[in-house]
Amino acid sequence: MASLIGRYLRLQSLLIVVIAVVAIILAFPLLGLTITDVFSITTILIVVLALNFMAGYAGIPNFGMALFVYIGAFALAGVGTRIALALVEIASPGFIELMRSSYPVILGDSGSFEVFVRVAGDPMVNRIMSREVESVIEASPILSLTLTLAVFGFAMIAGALTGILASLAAVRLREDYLAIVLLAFSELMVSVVFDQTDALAGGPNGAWVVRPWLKINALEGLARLLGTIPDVLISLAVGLAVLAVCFIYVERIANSPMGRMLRAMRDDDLAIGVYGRDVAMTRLKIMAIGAAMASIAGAIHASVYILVKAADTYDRVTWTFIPWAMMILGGMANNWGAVLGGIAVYLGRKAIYYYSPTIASAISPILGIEASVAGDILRAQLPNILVGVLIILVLYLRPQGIIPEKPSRTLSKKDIEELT
Amino acid sequence: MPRGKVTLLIGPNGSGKTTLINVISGVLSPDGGSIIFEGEDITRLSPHERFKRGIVRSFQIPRLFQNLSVMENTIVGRDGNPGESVVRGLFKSLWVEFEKKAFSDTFGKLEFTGLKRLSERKPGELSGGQMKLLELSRTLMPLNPKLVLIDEPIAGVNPALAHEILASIKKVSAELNVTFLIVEHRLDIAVEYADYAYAMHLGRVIAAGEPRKVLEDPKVIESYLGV
Repeated sequence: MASLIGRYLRLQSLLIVVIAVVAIILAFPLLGLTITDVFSITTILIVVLALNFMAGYAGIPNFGMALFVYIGAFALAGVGTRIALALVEIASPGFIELMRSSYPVILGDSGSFEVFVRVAGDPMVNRIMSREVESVIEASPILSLTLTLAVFGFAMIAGALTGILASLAAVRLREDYLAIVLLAFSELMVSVVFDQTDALAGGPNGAWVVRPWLKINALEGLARLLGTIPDVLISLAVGLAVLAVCFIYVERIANSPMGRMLRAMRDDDLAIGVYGRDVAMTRLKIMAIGAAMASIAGAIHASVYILVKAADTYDRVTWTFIPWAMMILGGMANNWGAVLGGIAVYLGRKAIYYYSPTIASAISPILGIEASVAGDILRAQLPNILVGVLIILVLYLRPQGIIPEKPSRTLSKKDIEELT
Repeated sequence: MPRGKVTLLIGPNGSGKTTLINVISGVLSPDGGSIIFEGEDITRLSPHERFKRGIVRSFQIPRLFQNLSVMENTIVGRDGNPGESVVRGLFKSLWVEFEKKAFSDTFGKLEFTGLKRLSERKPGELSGGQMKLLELSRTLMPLNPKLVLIDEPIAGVNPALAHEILASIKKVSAELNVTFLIVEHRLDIAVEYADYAYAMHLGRVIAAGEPRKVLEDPKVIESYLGV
């Protein structure tokens, strides 16, 4: 373990970690950062690492990230409530019957199966059932663990399958066409299929999330101290653990012969095909893994929410374009760069939100509008305008990003010296 | 093509030499006819499947990996690396020995083509001739080639090195029983090293046989001079 940590924390990496930690700590008083922000940074970093794995290393221009993130949220909302209901009904038979007698107006004389089907689609049924099952789940370690494994397993598998599905039609296409197909597929699935089909996860009304976490009273004190609730702390801990696993995975692959082959495939897929590499199959595998990572991030992200809506909560700006901006700023095909870019863009956006009233009161007399109106405009539009400007500036002035791509370090310097 | 020999393919510009290489290697599909390799019809196979049957090629205009170093560009020519897997790649012990052997072979090839001192550079920093040499270094990396198609290996290369390269190709061909098909315009140098030759004109073979005889064939002279 010590050698593993030692390997990843070389001087430059150490510097990045120090800068990131100092930036986040300073951001607490300077930008009004909260634990929820740290949690958001954690989930978006998993998404940026997944995107960098697909786009930075393998050259798959995934403009459909929002869909893969949403699949994870769907695992917790539409699917999670149903799995939870089934688990509770198995653990204590008669639960649905009890619910029917407690909520006769809403559930009426629906059969158990009908209740089960309506759980995601009917806003009232969904709301009541998700809260009721959650209260049973949070009190039982076995149910909580089973539900956790079930929803995260579902998120991972459904994410990977969606990744494969998206790439089946697209992996043989040229990079620019592939980008358009992935963007269109994501939009079609999120904005049309999920957002317009009540039975999946509530359609435009969204679906209430069932948190699989156990109720841990011991966390109450710590949570109050940090200005949050115990569930968020558990979500944060799970998120940090998943982030660490994902980071080690992509960094190890990047510094293996696989990483080198992916970078070669990205630079010239015809040439790597002529050298015996199956480009379509490789892209398919990378899409499956990257999409699974993004979906797990989505499931973790949804776990602090009460209600998630497909197109509202998982919009393409937040979950596709901003991760792209983070990756481009940090440096494509560099995992440390992706982390640094992710934190920098998040804190930059946070700074605009935090200081927008101050800036608004300063510029409102010049513009001749009320400070509150100016503040609203700044908050709503400025962060996205700046993300767009940032992408253009970085691509124009420093296309390699903050930390440029490096050769895959498959052998140590000592090994290479011995071989020469 | 005689097995284990060096065959030269000549013809004026636009006669279809590169197209033929593209069709054999699977980069282009033929409009008609079929490609038979060692008794197997490979017409419908993709380039990577043809590579697995032993067909390796280089490109006339080098197709190098622009963000990979010279070293990395060469080493990816080595196939069968167990570390090129989304799972095994995680465990260094499974591929480190293969990788060390590949590194050592790569340094050998780069030493031969004179690119070793540039091994950390990117292709964009090389001259045109050096890019051709890098493309050639990569073409010599695969483990079990049977047929190697090389498109103008000595274009832009100085005469002394050009002789060395062709001599080495002839040596590899003889020692490892690898068949080479070489497209080349510098006939004065190439003819010395070829065992057999084909001449093409307007997409058809117009002469075949012993290289010097093919060069002297009136039809070949006519196609080159356009008279």
